[in-house]
Amino acid sequence: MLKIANTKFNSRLFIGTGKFASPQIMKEVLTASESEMVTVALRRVDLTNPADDIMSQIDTGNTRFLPNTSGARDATEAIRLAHLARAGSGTKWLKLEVTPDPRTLLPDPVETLKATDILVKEGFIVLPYMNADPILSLKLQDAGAAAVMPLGAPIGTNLGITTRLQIEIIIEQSRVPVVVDAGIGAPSHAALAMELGADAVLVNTAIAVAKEPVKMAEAFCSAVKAGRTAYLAGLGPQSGQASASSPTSGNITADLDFLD
Amino acid sequence: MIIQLNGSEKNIKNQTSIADLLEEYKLERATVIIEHNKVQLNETASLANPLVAGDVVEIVRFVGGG
Repeated sequence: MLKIANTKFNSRLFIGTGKFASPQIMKEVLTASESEMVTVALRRVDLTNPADDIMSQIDTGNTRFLPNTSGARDATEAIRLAHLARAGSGTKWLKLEVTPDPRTLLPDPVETLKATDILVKEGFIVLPYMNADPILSLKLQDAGAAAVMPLGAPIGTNLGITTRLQIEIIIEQSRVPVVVDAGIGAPSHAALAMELGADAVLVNTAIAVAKEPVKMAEAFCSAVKAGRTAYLAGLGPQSGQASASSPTSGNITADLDFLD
Repeated sequence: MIIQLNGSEKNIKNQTSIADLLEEYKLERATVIIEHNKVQLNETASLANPLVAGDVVEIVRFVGGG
């Protein structure tokens, strides 16, 4: 069972709640996905349209909130958002996200490490979103990250696990759970991440923009389970050389050759 | 007098409080997070004190995000 900071999770699929066409669809997706961890973002209330509250749509019974610091461009902004998020949600859990470049939305490793260090000391349970950098991953763990969240590809691209080699190294070296986040565009990508030994995946865009998001949530739910089971079953080794899967002795063709 | 509310200037009457602003926008206290001059107000903090010119108020809340 997945365990992060002494909290157990039955589901290894985390869901992001952005980009959904309606709160109702999001709610149905959360149920279909069986997810127990959902991310939310903080934004200024739109004072021209104040009647819009996402929290009331999320069943807090068995779902844990993971507020993110999206929008933060440096450690100082992320820490400010973290404090607001804690006040608003009552949770110490935090997906730390520091993305200074709006074009690539790639995380700033230096500011992320700095903020992790400070927020862990303040008692936050920090899950930093990071580039798939094995060295950074170790430094974030040293700073007290409760899990690491390396990207498969940039946010919202649906490109899949483009950082496979680095993710494999991160998993191999990790002392905390590895949650592959960002870029996962299809259930097969999620299954691959799990087969590689990731502890969980976070999916948002791929589900939210699907023609039928609820159905897609079901597909991701199955894929994550399948990938995890395959990882536990142990994948066979890869080889460039063919190796017959049928027996090579007692070959019928050989027997018939003898009759000639 | 003028205050900064969520990044925009807002003209308010004297003696207006943060509680008055929540009422104006029909926002329930429990659904929002409030910063007053960069100081976060916890849930039990009084919102009844009158604002003064130049105060900076931020009212934020959770939205969908990944």
